[in-house]
Amino acid sequence: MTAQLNVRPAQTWRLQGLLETFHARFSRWPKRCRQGLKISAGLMAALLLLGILTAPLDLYSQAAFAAVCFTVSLIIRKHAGRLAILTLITLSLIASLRYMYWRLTDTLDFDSWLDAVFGYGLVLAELYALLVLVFGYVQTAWPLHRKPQILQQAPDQWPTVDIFIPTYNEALSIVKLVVLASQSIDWPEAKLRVHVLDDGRREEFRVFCEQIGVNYITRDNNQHAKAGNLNEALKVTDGEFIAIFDADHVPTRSFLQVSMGWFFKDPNLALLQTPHFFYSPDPFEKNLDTFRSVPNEGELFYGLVQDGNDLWNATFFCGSCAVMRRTHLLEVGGIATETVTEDAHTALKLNRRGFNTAYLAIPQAAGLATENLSRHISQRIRWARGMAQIFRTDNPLLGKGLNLGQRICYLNAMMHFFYSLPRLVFLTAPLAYLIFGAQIFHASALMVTVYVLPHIFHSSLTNSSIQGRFRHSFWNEVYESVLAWYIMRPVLFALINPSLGTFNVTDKGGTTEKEYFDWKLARPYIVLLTLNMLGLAIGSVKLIGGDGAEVATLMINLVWTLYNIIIVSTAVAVASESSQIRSEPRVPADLPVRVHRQDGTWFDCTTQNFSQKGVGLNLPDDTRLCPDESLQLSILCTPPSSLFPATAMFNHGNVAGVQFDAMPLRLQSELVRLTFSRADTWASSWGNGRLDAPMSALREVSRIGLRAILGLFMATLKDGQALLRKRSNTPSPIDSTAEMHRS
Amino acid sequence: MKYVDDVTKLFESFGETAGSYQEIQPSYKNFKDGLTPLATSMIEQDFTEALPQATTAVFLLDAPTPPLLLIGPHMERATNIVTSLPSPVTAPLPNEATTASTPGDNQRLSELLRELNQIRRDGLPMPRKQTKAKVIAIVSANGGVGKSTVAAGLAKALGHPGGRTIAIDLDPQNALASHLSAIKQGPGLIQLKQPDADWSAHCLPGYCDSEYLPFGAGSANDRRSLKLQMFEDSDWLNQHLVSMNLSENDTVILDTPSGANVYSQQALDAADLVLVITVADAASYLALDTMAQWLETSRRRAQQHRYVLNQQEGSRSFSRDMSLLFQRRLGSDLISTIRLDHQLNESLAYNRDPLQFSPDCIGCQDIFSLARMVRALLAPDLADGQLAP
Repeated sequence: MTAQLNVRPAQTWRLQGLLETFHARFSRWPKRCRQGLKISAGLMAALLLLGILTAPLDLYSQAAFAAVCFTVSLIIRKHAGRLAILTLITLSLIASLRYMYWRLTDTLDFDSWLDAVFGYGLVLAELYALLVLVFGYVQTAWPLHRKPQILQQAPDQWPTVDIFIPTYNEALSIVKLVVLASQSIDWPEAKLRVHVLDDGRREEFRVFCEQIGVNYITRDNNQHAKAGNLNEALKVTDGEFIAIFDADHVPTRSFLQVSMGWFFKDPNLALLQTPHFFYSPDPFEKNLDTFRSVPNEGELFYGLVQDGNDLWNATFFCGSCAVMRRTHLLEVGGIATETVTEDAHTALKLNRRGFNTAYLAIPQAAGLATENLSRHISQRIRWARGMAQIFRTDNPLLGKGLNLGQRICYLNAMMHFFYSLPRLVFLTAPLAYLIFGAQIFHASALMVTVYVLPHIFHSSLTNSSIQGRFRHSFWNEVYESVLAWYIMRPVLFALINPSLGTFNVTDKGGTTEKEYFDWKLARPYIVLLTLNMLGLAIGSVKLIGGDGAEVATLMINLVWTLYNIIIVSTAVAVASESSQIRSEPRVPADLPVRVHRQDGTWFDCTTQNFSQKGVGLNLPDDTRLCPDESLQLSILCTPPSSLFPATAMFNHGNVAGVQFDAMPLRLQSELVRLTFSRADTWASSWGNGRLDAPMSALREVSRIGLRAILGLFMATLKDGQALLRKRSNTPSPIDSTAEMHRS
Repeated sequence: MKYVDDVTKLFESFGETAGSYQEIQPSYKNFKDGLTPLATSMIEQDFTEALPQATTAVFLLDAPTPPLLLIGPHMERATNIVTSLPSPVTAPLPNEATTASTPGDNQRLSELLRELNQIRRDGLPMPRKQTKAKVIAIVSANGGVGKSTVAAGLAKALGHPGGRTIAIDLDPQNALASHLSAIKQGPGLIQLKQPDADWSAHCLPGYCDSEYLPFGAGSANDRRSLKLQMFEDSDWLNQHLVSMNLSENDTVILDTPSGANVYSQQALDAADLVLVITVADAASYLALDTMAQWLETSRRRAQQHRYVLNQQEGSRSFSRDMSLLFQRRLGSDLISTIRLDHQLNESLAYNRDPLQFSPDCIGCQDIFSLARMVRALLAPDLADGQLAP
């Protein structure tokens, strides 16, 4: 709902207004009347729907019908409001279900076993996609947009809160930020306990915690990784509520006062989750240079999906940036340890037990995104494996305690991770025809067109309308393509035998110094790209040289192949790691600052950005700083801040970079409170992305893809030359693929 | 540019007011990293060490400014900043009695600082008074002796034909304005500390054709930066006086806060005549030595130092005895005794000028005679001129 408020709302459909007045009048009718009307309306709608879905139409009527539906959709798209969304969804479902009905009844007529294998494979993939589409609509059509409850009680009635910061191998410089920020959360000091749970049992952490007066908790083993760590800490603490922050998720100072209100309002509430906001770019944004222009991968989930889950009381825990009620958590046995996504599993258990879970779409903590693609992939592998484990061991469709909405939402969350096989099928399906000549689709090309195109267009349009602010069109395919190959095996194994596989920790922070192309990681994409290029080549040859009999089919397959090439080459682009000179990501911010120079003069200016180590300043026109000049900075607020010692690093024109000197802990804490802990920094840039425009998204993705193909070519040349030179210089027995890993 | 309240912005973004939000700062009392105010105690100690024999001497620094600018991780860094101050606030002590047993680092550092200041002092040219007007600095060792009262009295009584009499308040207490005018308005010198500020234009009219420039109300940051400027530039006040373009018929009276501090140091560096106000009690007497030391080490060429005994009570034998001791001690340096008169105090309360309201009271008479003495000191070749009634 913050996202909603940040954008000028489109016109709500007038029809919705009319229906609402009708509904108001309708609810005043006597009950019998209303029931009768509802039943008869329902029956009529069901019959109508059935008729529409199953009516066999010939080519032209289907084309006309599709055109009409699509035009209506385009018109309705301009309006906002629930009714418009529901209508779009209905039309999209009509198109897709018609397509599926026709697909299943008319096109599965195969001649050879080869055709059958490919054909059924494709149908299964399509069924999966349809199922996910339907569930997705259910999940996201009606986001709850929960608003925070303001605390009515006086501070002396506020409950005690334990803040857990589990850490294993993160550097102290990263965790320090979280600890200092947690300590400066606006909450009565006696009721706020901060605990650092160190599974690495490191001395410097212990010393640091002692210096600033937070608790330091360790255990003598590392069983069950983070879940075990949290459970052990639960045993030695006693706060009424528990807030959990990952070692790099810095909370704002308003975190508790924004989240705790709902716990008072609803005694049955066990969990309140807030979004994970990233102030550094993830590998996609970094390597494709789309930071802050294209919404990142997590924004769909945290901006829309969880909000939709919230309507059905199916919000699930994401491991960090959440508050839980201790009594309810202990009732389900603490954090779940049976799977590697202990967070989602815990929420499932809570829901089964009958507790409520809630979501607030206001970012009140921010962290670092994964550094490079290989870390990103290992994180997603863990999530996929865990979800598959839950699917197998604690399936939401079975067992009691969940209502239908919750079952669908959890199921969709898990099924989302099964996209690997279907995605790979979609990426290779046209090659079956182009290379092997298999007839996997028993229908004329034109029929295919008039059925498939509405299905694709409607789903794209509807998804763009629902998700436009959180995910641009076609990027879904890119994300899936990047991860599909890697999560396929873990998911399959987890489905077969859930107890296999270990928890691999995603490490955060660090510098990638040079640019390099991650050949090893990019191998699957390169293979797919090559296959598709091959198919394109063969198909073009056939098109040009062959007879005109199968032109339409060839065209369809070629277009599909081209689309696949664009997607896969974008995936290749992600593997080209750019260098990251600064290890400290900077947060844009506009704070008024007074700079005292060593000669006694001072001037006021604003910051451009800040990081843990320093700030960037917008200097006034007549002032210039010399490098290595000593300065004192104070942030102008009421009351004014202390003076922070700093050194000027550089000065280009109006822009200066300033690095903070070593400061006592008190000043460090104050600095964190004034910069990272500001309540509105993350919320103000949330959901502010460009709205989706499918055509320009396609252009963007194509552009990235083409550049990637060129880049791949260049990288091949460069690394190939290097390899040849190495071969000619030192004939070593070392495995050459290992050499090619880092340039 | 204003600091936008982050919590207000956040709450507004979801349509609520932040009225009920409780802002709770963390208390830093549990923080121990050994890097905190060691430097603070060191610098404050220097100031108090300057006049060690004054047991009850109140050497007030206006508003203990937390010298956070001097907190650093290493002592070297603190040294770097401090030694850029040319004129020492802490006067070099010829015979210093090390009073407190300071921890080793502090002592060593303060000695280094003093040495450095001494070298600077001997090496650099003394700040020269440059303006042609006659400048009188009113100083004292203790507080509450009546500097502002005497300064205001002189400003009203010292009228010179054809010249202006301007009283400038260097005391953050900002009391001079109340003595000289019923109306408080306008910016003071704390808002006018830039070199190009026009002090002449901002002088406000006071009683008896006097003018005054108040200290002004400023924030702690303003005061900090004013003091920084004064530390840095011992000529600061001189330059401002020059910029006022005064003639030799004009008189400037400088009211300072008690003790040896950066403001009174600036006044010393600019004055032709320094009037030390004392009262007839033990605290003032005991402070005489150290006051003398401070004046001596700061003395400029052709600068005169005189003493004024204020608030003397003829009815009490103790006061009479003390004034006798002062006379013996100071001899001809004690130029005037002002008897205790409550009229002066009450006039301040009732916003009226005592020299006009009750000129016959003994306090006013004594002020007139003081003014005569001062005039004689400043222009000994002139005959005793007219004094303002």
